[in-house]
Amino acid sequence: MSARNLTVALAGNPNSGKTTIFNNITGARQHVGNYPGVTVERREGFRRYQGKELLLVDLPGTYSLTAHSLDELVARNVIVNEKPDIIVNILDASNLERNLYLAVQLLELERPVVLALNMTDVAEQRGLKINDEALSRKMGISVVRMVGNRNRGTDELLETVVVAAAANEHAPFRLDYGQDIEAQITQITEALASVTEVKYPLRWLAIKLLENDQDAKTLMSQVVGGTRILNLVEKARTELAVIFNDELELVIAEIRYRFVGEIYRQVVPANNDLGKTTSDKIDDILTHRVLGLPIFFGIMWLLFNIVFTVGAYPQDWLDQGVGLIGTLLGDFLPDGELKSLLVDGIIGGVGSVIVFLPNILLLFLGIALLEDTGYMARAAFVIDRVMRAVGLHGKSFIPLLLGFGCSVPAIMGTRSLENPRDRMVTILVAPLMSCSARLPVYTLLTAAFFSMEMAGTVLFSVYAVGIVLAILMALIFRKFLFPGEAEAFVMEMPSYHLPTLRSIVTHMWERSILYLKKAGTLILVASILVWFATNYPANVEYSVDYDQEKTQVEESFNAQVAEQVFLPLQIEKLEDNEELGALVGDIAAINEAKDEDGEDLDDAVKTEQLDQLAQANNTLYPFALQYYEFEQKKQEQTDSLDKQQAGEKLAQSYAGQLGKTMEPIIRPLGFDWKIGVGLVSAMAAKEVLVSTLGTIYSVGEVDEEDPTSLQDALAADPAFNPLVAYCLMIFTLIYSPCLAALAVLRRETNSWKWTAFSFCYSTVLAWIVTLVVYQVGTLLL
Amino acid sequence: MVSLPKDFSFTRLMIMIPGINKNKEATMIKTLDCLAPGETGVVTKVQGSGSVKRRIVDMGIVGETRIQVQKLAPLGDPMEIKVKNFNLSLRKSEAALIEVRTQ
Repeated sequence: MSARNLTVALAGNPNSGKTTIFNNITGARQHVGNYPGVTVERREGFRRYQGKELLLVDLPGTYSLTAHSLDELVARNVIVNEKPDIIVNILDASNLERNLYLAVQLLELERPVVLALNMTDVAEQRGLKINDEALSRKMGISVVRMVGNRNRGTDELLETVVVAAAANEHAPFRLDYGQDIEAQITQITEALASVTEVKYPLRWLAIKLLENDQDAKTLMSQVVGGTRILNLVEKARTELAVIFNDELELVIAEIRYRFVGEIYRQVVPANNDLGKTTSDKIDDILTHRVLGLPIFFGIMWLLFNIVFTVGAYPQDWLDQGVGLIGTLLGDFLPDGELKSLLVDGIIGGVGSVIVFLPNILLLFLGIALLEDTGYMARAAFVIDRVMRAVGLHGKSFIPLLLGFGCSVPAIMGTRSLENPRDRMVTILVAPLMSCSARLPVYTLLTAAFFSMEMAGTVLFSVYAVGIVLAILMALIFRKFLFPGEAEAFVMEMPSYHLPTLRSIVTHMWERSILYLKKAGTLILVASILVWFATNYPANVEYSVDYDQEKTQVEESFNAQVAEQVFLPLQIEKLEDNEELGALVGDIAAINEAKDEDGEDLDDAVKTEQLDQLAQANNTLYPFALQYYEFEQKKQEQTDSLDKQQAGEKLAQSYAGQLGKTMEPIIRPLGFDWKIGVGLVSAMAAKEVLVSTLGTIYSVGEVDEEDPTSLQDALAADPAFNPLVAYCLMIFTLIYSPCLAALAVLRRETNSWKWTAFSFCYSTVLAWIVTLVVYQVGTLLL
Repeated sequence: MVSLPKDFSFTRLMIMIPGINKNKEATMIKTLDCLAPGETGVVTKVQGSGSVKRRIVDMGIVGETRIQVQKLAPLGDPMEIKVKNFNLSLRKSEAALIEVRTQ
């Protein structure tokens, strides 16, 4: 610590209001990162106070400081390794006793501690009168009263922190573990003194070793002289086990709680600690034996709708906005490689990520609300039984539900799962919840190959297969990949409280920016790759000389028009006769006019308007009509040639070649190389399958809502039949999550290994299941 | 030679012999999962081993702690209890590790 700078670590139980206080102190001057190598958030911030620059570190919320969870390890390692000048322990005054359990453990780390008694308003409301002076005396440290979510007590806290740091004294805190244990502690501490390289407080380390702390033991095994200590500890533990007839770790925990209980009783006058609170009254309804589930589903339905239905509007705007940028650039830039790269590749690809932003924002808004009010714990409580039956955890429900909309928010939503094993299983299984991007693929294929009556059942069966597979894979993963004892469900149900606007907005914003950054960069790279693979090699040998064909069409048009329109009117070009030009324009306008829904006008209406036009200009009208019809025909022919050309180009591109190479592998599934190309490009985003098929089958741009042209093209292709179509749907359902999902998976698991695993297992699973469906299908039909 | 189950307790056995507790108030020792909503118990022992037990203890459920069962979840499991001024939910299988005496 320099005279000007102080490091302050904030520690406390989950739900103690720690982060609110952190935000109160640091305001906007904070940032979030990760501790190196782990998915634990590191939140740091700055505050100037009385000429000093304070660096605040918000440690993960923990109930204890054992080595049993990553959060606890991280918290204690920060204290031991970084030696903050002051630790501020935020305590929830309304359940002080349990909160003090952590406090004493923090004190045992022998750094200066200040106690912040938070939520004193709630405690008062419950009739808990805490004598903070007595508390301060008994713990030997300063106590500050606060109400974090009204920003009360912040200045007093800062004042106390600065004073305590300047005094630089820490009351030598010593929890007496009783004669027998203390004797052993002394022995081990003495032995430790002779071992160098140890930067932990010796007494603390001795206690931890007696508690059989895995992290401490590993440390010992790595230092010189450590083995001797470990043997000493073993002997001590055996002796003590005989005396106490219970695991030493738990005896020590009990002694701590007894100590804490004593202090609590002296600091808070007796009151009914099992009384009914306001939260209990709310829960009478929300977790009611009968009403609980319907209310839960209602809230889930609301969340889902807000994220995907309400989010669809801004999503649409963004979509159009991105499209607009694409068009503007397209008009502005000269034709060529750069333009194609920018417009098709980058804007197309990255745009698809940005377009998700409204949904992401809404998702995190919803989740932040549920978490900060305290309802999330109730949700897990209500649905846990069902989740457990399939090898998951109550908190897995929301992420999986979100997976029906999009895997990206689903994977991000697994953060609420503290237990890494449950979390991984949920992450791996979430993509099997058929996301909304796959829907266009299903609707296209169902419409093309199945009758209207069958369509509903077919669609439902695909979704059902997804759910069944998810349950199966969850059970398998839990059993084989992440085996071991069932993780504890034991979970605090925090009191309900009204969250601050600031905390909700902060939660929402942070997570969304992270999504943009991480998903964005990966997608950018991938989009460029996909663009490259589908556009190169550029010099393709076409079956037909397209340029020549197009010129011929142009010439033919010119000839016809010259003969039938210009000659009779004695002009050389359209511009020569203004009236004619205007009429042609009018005819075009009528034919292409759309009503307010964007639909084409009724034929009857069109004919009527055309007749009116004809009557008004009966000499010129026939010629204008002719011209218009020739022009239309030319346009159609040119378009058709363009599409054919694009199709051939794609077929011979790297992607196309890849498709052809893949063909033998996907043949047994009933797929040919064209589908192969589609599947490869759909890696970028599932709905791309539809547009790629459109290109391959040379139907040009496919309107998702009305894919009749592609439908017809597919139906006409002999390689396609209902069984193949169904197989394609199944394959699309199961195989690798799209790039955005993979990118987010990578970020959330912090591991390339699991990202690759997700890709591999799902693709292999897709292959196997589709194989079975296809082969069995061919046999049966 | 019959081996005793790990959580065997003579006290438990004695209580089952009719008449043995005539002189004291009948003290029932059950596990927490057997309590119904509204019932209260005092912890006598926490069984088991490993991280579940650790978690239970870290939450403050140690000997002589008073626990009241609040309710069961709609599907019967998990259960919600009140202890040391806060609410905790845990699965019945976890509650089964907690021995309590009721009066």
